[in-house]
Amino acid sequence: MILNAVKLPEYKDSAEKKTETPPLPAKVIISLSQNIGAPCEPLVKIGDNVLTGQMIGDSNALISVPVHSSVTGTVEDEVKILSVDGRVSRALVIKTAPLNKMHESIKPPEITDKASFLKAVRNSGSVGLGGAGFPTYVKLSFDKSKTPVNTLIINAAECEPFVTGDYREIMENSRNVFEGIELVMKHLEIPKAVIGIEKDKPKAIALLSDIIKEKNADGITIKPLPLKYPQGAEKILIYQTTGKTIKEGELPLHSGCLVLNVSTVSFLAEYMKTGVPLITRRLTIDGDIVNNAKNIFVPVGTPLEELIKSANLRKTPDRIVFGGPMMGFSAYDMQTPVTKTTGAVLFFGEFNKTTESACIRCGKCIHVCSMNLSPYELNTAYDANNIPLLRRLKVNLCMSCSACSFVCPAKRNICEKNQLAKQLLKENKS
Amino acid sequence: MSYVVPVLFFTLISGLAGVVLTVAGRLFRVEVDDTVEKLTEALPGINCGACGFASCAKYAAAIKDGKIAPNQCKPGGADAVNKLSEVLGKKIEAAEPEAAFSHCAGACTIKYDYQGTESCRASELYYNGREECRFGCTGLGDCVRICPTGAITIGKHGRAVIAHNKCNACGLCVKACPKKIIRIQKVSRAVHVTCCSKDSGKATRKVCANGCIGCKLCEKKCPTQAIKVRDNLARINYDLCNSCGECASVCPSKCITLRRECDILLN
Repeated sequence: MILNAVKLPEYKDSAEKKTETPPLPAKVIISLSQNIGAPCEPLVKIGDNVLTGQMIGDSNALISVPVHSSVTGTVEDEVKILSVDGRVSRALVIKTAPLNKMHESIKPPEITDKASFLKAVRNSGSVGLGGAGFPTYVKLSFDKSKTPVNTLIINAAECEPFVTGDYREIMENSRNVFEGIELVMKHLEIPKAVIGIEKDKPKAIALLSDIIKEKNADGITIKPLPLKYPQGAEKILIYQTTGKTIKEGELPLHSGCLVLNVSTVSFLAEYMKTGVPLITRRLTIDGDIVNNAKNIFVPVGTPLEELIKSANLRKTPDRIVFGGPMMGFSAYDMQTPVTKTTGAVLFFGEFNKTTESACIRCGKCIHVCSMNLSPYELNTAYDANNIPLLRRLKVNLCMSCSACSFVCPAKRNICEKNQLAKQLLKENKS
Repeated sequence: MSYVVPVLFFTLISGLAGVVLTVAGRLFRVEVDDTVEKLTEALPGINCGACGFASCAKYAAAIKDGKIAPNQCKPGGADAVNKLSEVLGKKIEAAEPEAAFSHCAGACTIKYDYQGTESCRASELYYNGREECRFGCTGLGDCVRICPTGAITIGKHGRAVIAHNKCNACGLCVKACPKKIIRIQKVSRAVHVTCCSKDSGKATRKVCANGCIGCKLCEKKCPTQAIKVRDNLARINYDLCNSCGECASVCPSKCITLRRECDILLN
């Protein structure tokens, strides 16, 4: 199988360090819109005392999951926070009390059949931990008669530089990963599972294959993948592990695949055992001015100013990136909170502004586009405002991995223009 | 004497061809109406689409068929109307002159140091644009680049300013603006609300000294009840407005301005 992709430098300095737990932050800002879909309505008022794990936001909408308090404390304020995509969402500010106390509702859920399993998945507040934040229970509650899913694909390919959260999850909780996979396979009646993982993680591969051998799980296989970006993207991973391609406008379900992140399945197994909802998040703290690159456990809602304290920086950062350096976003506000989907916070020193120059038609962007688009042609079509051509060249398949912008020798913001083109198509729907 | 035969031969051929062509020309003549051509020439030919047709030629054809009034060409103005009436041979009433107007004159601060492509639309991809106010002008000049007459500049405050004497009301900037703050207004309309913020008064004041806070002073002062506050924003009903400027004098945020004052203020 040939995949057009780009080889990125790794910088995975935090890979072999055990995850640390820094002291609790003085306050947390918990966004009520942490998943793709409808935002939650708050269930608590200003001044209320909340306990760790207490449900503080829920919604009746179809695509939405509840939000839980990540600390014990008092609800101080309700603020509005602006997310990078321009959505304004409500958020609760909770002042942390010195004593951490678990809410009485936290107990292992009773699982008897598929319906109770899905209900438990919803109550856990689980979303796709890879970064997209799609509610897990929505993904799992597919109609088996319409879309017969026969392969569960576990995404352990962490192709962005710096980020090592999923790798640490396998190294530290490999049994949970295995149990999570078995759980999903059992309740959704999926016969086989494939774990897609990069070749450069031999320790993780050995750990997982030992457990599979020990438990005699024939349905689960491990597929070592080459070191390429953007391999962790859903469609690319399906292609790399099964060879199937997903057409425009179709879901992976239509080709019989279900993709779950390795941290998500591990969390599900943990939740079924303990009943603690998704309130902590493993973050990679790294970047060129970070002295001690590491992974840390932080409560969801920890503001950026608290993270800087545990980062141990050499100098004041010029740019702070939430997520990986390729697809993450820069934060401008020190109050930006960690959400369920934040996988890394990166601190960079010098960041030189690059200037665009004219396209030299070298075609490098075409060679690295894993969706086999021609970014250069898309850009000229956007500049000419040629909507039918943009549609024909399938700009909607672009997943903004920015591999094209990365390799462009003329330093053109190709990926950004593709996003503008996608927006143009959305505005001119006919 | 060897050239006599060729000369005679070609004279005969050309004579014959002449006769055939003349007869064919008379017999198969197509009636051509050059009115559409003349009308198209009378129009400015920038194909802006402000009349509602894709091109000047299509609009000219529609005029000829009597489908639309001949005074809809905004960039052409009085000049085009005169030329069109000459071609059509009848007097045409000129439409009231219009110009684009930018409904943001605030001095709001910048959220972050924007380093991306110099375009309002691109900046819009990150946190609703680089300005603190999510309704106001980004000031990166998408309208400046698209304007065919060079009427738009980025003023002192970093907001788009439109010189209405240069503007031909083609409406390309209206389409280009991602914040939808430019509107085509009749030049005779003297009073304008130079704010688009629908946020609450408190939130607006926090980011902009010149934002509409929805205090309704203008509503109370207006002698003709033309100005009304809806969604925290003052809106003028120009059917009732008599351009007295009372609202502008009482506005505490100075977000209602007389057009001429606004031009001076921003430049």
